[in-house]
Amino acid sequence: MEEAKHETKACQIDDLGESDLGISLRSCYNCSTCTVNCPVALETEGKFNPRTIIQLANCGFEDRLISEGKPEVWDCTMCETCDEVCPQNVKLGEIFVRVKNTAMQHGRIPNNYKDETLQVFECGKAIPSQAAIEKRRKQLGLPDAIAPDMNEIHTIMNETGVKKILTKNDQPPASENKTA
Amino acid sequence: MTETTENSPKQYLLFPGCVIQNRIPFIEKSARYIFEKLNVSVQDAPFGCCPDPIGVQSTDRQTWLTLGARNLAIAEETNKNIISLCNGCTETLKTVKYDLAQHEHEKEEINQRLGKINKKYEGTVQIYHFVQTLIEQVGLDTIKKMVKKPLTGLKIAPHSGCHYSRPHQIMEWDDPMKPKWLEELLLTLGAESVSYDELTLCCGSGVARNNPDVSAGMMKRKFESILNAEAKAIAVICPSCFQQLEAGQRTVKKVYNLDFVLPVFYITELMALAFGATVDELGIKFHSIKATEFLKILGFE
Repeated sequence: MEEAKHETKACQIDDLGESDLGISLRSCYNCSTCTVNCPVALETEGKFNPRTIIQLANCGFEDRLISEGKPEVWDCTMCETCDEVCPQNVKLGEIFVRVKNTAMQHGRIPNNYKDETLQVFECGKAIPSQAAIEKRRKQLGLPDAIAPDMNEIHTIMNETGVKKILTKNDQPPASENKTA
Repeated sequence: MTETTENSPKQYLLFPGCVIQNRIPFIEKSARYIFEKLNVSVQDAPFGCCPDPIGVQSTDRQTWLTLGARNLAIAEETNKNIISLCNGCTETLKTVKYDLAQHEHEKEEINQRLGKINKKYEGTVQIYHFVQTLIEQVGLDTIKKMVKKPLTGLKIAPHSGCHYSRPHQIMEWDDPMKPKWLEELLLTLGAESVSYDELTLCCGSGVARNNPDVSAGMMKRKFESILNAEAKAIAVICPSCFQQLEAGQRTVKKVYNLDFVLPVFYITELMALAFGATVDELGIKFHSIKATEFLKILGFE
């Protein structure tokens, strides 16, 4: 599949075609039920507007979401309320994820997201162990947490290419091959 | 305990997830305590990160699906179903299973990657949020029989969290917009479950990292609704919600000058207390919003 290579398309929602995600995207009839129920839309007084994101995606303007962040798709709190209330079963959550994934490929990813994924590469878990917590686990009579096989985690994250994409802008070109 | 699942395993794989395991392990303590009392046999799951449905999925969905499928493939090798202590881990693993059942080509692609580590994902293992296990496999009647010290007089606001039951198509458990089982568990323990307007409002943890102001505003709405309903504490079933609703009380005090104290409890802690565990053995002193004095007033030492 092309999108696994992370290179070819401008946006992962450009070529959804007759996939269930593509059909769901085109099913939006602009009723705004998503926006009315969105807690972030309420807090931002509509600045973050899920309906606008779907509209832009349907009209071929998804590059605005990726390059300008208008609306800022990273502000979605991923509560899945929109998915649940949508009368047309538009898979808003997954569509937003695809937009964010594309933004990541173009280097527009908030640092804390990037850091978390790299943390998984480093230690296999998003939240690493700490000496103080290990001591506390012992105090509580809990067994040591099992460490995952890091070779396997590295192999997978190198296969998907995510490690390379996330670190490519951090290093001078000469050292790029080290992580490949 | 009845065994009605696909593999009819006698034992489950326990997956606390990295927030509980590596930040708030006292929750794992209470969960293990009640499972032992209720004869739910568990073995530790040797998983990596679930991975996080917000951070890792937003970064790269293919990585998220593949790492999740790796965990499920490990579970399949043991022929045991999974009990998750975390909403996020439950959602990740259930979504991986759902997605790969729907899309054969994606399953093949992910199995190609897993092939590089000599693993294969089939799709045979079941994933349960621990609340589902408590309701379906144990049952409220059995839980009620275990209550030695009912939580009489405790007015508590239930907060199930988003990824526990949404999206319903994938989670297939409880009501997505008005979840009820946490409330039922509280009532079974003898507590008073308080209904409040913002029951289903997200805790704001997902947006906190990118937009802390929005997150603070959501928590303000949530806390005000809970306080208006005169609840004295909050019961949760997700470690991200637990951390957010504890840390959020400091945030809301700072940003909005709202001063209040609402101890936050995992339902497993409340169950363990009602079953006779002591505050000390459960490590409740490690809560950031101090809860030991609060429990003392209710007769728990």
